[in-house]
Amino acid sequence: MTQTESRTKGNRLEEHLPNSTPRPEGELKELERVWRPPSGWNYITVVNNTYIGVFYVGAAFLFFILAGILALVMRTQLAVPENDLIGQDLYNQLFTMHGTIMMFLFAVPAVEAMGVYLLPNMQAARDLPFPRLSAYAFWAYFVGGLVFFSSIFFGLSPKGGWFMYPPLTSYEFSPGINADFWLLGIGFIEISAIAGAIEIIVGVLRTRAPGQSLDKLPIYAWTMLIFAGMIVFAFPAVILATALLELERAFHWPFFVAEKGGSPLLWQHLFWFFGHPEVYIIFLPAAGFVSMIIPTVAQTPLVAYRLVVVALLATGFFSFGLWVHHMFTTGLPQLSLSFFSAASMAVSIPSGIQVFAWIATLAAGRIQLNTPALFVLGFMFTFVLGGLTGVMVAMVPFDWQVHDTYFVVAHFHYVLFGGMVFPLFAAFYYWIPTASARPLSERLGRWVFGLIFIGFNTAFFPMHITGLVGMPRRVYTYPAELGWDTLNMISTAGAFMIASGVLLFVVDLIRNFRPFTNKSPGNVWNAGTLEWLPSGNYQTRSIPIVTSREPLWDQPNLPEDVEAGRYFLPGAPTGGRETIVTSPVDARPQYVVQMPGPSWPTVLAAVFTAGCFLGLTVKLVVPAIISGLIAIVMVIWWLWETDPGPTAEEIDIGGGIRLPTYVTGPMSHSWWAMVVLILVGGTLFTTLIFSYFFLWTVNPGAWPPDGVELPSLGWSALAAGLYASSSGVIWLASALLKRRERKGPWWGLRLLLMAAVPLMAGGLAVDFNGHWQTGLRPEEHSYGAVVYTVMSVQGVYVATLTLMAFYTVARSLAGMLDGVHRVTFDNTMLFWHYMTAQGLVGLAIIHFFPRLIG
Amino acid sequence: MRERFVTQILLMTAGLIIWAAHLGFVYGLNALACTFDFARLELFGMALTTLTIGVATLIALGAELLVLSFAVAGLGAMGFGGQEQYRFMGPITATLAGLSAVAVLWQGLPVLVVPVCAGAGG
Repeated sequence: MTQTESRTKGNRLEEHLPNSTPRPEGELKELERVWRPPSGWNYITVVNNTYIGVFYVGAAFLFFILAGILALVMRTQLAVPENDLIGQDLYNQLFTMHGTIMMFLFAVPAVEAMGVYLLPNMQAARDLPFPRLSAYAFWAYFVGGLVFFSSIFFGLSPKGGWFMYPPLTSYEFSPGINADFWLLGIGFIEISAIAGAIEIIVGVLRTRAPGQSLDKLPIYAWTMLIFAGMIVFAFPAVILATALLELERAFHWPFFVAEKGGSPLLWQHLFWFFGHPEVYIIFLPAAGFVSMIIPTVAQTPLVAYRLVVVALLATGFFSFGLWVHHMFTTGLPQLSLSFFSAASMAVSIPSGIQVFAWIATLAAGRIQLNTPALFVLGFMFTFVLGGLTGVMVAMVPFDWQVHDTYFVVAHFHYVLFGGMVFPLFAAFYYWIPTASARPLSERLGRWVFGLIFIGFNTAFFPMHITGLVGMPRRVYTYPAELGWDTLNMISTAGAFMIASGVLLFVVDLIRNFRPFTNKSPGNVWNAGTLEWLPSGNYQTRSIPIVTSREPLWDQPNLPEDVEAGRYFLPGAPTGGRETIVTSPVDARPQYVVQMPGPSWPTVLAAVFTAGCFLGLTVKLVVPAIISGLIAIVMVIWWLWETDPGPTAEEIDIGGGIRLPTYVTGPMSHSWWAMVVLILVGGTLFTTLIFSYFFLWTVNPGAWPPDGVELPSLGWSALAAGLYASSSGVIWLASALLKRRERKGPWWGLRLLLMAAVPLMAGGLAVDFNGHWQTGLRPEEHSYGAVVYTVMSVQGVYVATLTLMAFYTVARSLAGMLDGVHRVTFDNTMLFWHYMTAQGLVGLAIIHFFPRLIG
Repeated sequence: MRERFVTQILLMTAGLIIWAAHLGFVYGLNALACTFDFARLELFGMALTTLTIGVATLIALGAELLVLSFAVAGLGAMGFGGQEQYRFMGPITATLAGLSAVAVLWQGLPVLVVPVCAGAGG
């Protein structure tokens, strides 16, 4: 049956179940065998989302507790004036680590982890499409995060605040390796977050239950899609910023040193271009939790579903237009500030839409006041207050008054704790029955809520006043006569009340949380979405056809039919792990993807990647290089099994629909992942080019600076020609490979790939030589620094593609690449063409722009 | 019906993309005007920068209204791939364009009351 025929048939299948019962003997046992996690020591290599998701959430919660303990130490220090419990240096490390861990090691990973756990369940996929990538992201984050946290025990923690402004954090004022822990640690953890985001984007768009079209997508999946998209466009800015500051610290390339043509404001632009969307990156998934929980506690569908989608999309976009509102006191022109003040007010409209939709849903139904509902109500109260003070600080004159005071501390805790921690606890109480043999205790849950809610408002509400009466943030103590002592004592009492609530939650977990069993309390809240279907390690026994947003409410007998195997793919026809890949808009079945299982190389790759970054941080360069090389070998080993080729021509998923087990080109999920990765690369390059132009505005009339010659245009033309011809060779290889179809491995492909590598490397070498011959050096002026950075980034691509070319050749030599079995080649090809495009743009800007303005 | 995912998503978010382009343009122009000191240039008795920002705002508003009418009039059904998808994406496109138009107008208004480079700290 062709794809078109299968679509037509898929529509008719909504009326007739695709598979008959009873199912063949042994089918379920085979499904269980295929998806069973490994045992013994190999357990650590598990990749199933239901395990990795729980590990991931658990690790994030561990970092929440650790950062919370740091906060308690700070609050104890501030409880009374002129306290000498801890000194200034340790206090600086504490507030830096508290903010950094809460933002980078708790908030983003926690919501990402919940996505890894929940999304396949909600979409009735057997797993996310790249399970080993999820496992890698988790282990890299967990190992890297623990090492980063441990730095506080050795007095090596960063102390420049969670946003690490230079020049305070550059080599002159922060010698030693404390700041390097932040820069390399956070840069590394952000890469892990991007890996997770790619997984989530492809997962949401391509692995949904048949029929679960975009208009029937659970709101949570919408929020995770937008969340992951925001990561793709926001995180490269901070990765670039950390790389630039590390280059400045390690090699004295002066991006942020004013006397050498740099500007500290460049850091602020790059950091906040990431940092403000980061707030919404944390908030949107939490809003997704709320949009899923409210309909269940009210037992009625979400009111204004489409408007909520509008609000999510608008928030995602508008949040990128707010970064300058963190820079209102930096001396930018008032008109510039006004643009961002306006955008800051505009973003409150979509947030308001969501709040009204939730209120309307609660009003339309009959609310059951259980623990998740209490946390949701606590969220709405707290977040709305935080939003209102957000509108206040969006007003430039007001912001000037409260900037860097405790008012701001109160505001962002109301937004972040209110907007993310309350929904997260609601989510814990709501979804733990899907992951545990027992739900959590309702009685304890109410106490947990009461302690956290009252504790939070006791701790943070007085801080508005503390700020308004003038207490600046980040001071380790204060004189008694300023009148701040009572307010601080109340805040400290509130902080310990929050801690007692969290402790009680841990007690509840210990008593009731029993994960990784096949027992389940079932659909305890009578929810309407697919994650409440009966499930095992393979998720649902069969993959249902979805005809509504709340299929468990609207499709009678769905759980029984799914569990009996009456829907799609009730077994494991390829003998391995697999799930259905669907089209991105209408969710029509397109092919069955074969997925990799547990793997040691994935775990080892993560550990040695962390080892490489740690080695670089503590200046153990040789061990770092060895660790990095081992990590690369492990990644190659892990990837070797992930492009299995068409193991069967077509398989029957039920209802007479036969799907291929392997596709290439734009329909392939692998192609989609590579395109998203290229978007990440493109964003990083765009922020680098922004940095180039920003530094030009800092040095008007001196770009390049006096005494610096531009290389002759002949060098740039030669470099461009070499890049373009390398891409041309790859294009030729692709066209010839396509003609050969299944004629087996082909020596011509290997020759062409090996010819393209020196052409590409030659392009970089020629460009580098042109600049070097003029005497331009990166450490003398920001111009040289940014020019050499553009070439260095290109160098990273050239090195990566050289490795990819050899890997592709190796697969050809192993007989694993031909005209049909060519996903590996396609990935290399896509990345290659991107490298060429980036190289050409870089050459054009660096060689032509100074001539244009000169 | 054939899916054109990228086209459909770009159409649906066209209003927001116009808003982003407007913000990027007016902020970039203002920053350059203050850095390179061409904020004093005048045309028809008005600061050239102010005039350009005003015109850019009007163009952006026009583009937003175009997207809005495109979605509301149902002409978008072809772009969205068919009636079924249009029923979902059409209203979203229209609402996002309307919301973005308000945001564009809101961020264009300060140019009427705030001088181009006032308060620039260098």
